[in-house]
Amino acid sequence: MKNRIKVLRAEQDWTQAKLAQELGVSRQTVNAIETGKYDPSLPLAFKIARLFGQRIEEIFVDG
Amino acid sequence: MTDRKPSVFERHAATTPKDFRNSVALGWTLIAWALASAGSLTLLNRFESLIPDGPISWAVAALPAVLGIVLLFVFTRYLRETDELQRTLQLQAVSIAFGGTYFGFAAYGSFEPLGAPPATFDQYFVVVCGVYTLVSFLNWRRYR
Repeated sequence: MKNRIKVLRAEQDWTQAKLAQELGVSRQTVNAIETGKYDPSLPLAFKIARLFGQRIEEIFVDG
Repeated sequence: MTDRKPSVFERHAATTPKDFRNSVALGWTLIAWALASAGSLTLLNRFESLIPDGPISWAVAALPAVLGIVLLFVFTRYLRETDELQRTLQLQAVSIAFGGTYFGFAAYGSFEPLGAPPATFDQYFVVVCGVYTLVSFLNWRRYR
């Protein structure tokens, strides 16, 4: 699953560590999601969407 | 939203502080269990004369089992509270280590009637630890 987290993070000028801290997960998890190696759970996807003020489908794209 | 600067640990070790505390607790419990297991076996097998029969010898024999139960609780708490990727990777490493090694030893058992030396539980445990370490290392490399 593709996502726009890296772009959204860059717009906020946040590091992966900063985003991980905001989400309460490890930096490894943020990195794995950004690079498409890992798809987050639904609760974490909602948390990401809320943090960036967008809907889940605006951040995560199937395919 | 807080603007706290991430600690050195958060920036470089790549886990949350809660994960770190649980990992440390897990590590110490694992060490305590390993030492108790080795110590108990050594005392009961090699220094049997030093331990009086009765409750004390039973306590020495039961200590690894008690610490093993504590270890299960600590590991369960670690899994419950760690972040979701770490949980997935840990479960994967544990299942490959125990399951993979079990199937490997079961396959090896077929060769024992043909003259292969019999495998022991100690060997199984050592291989489990080795496979767990290997899978954890590969996961760490993939997701660092």
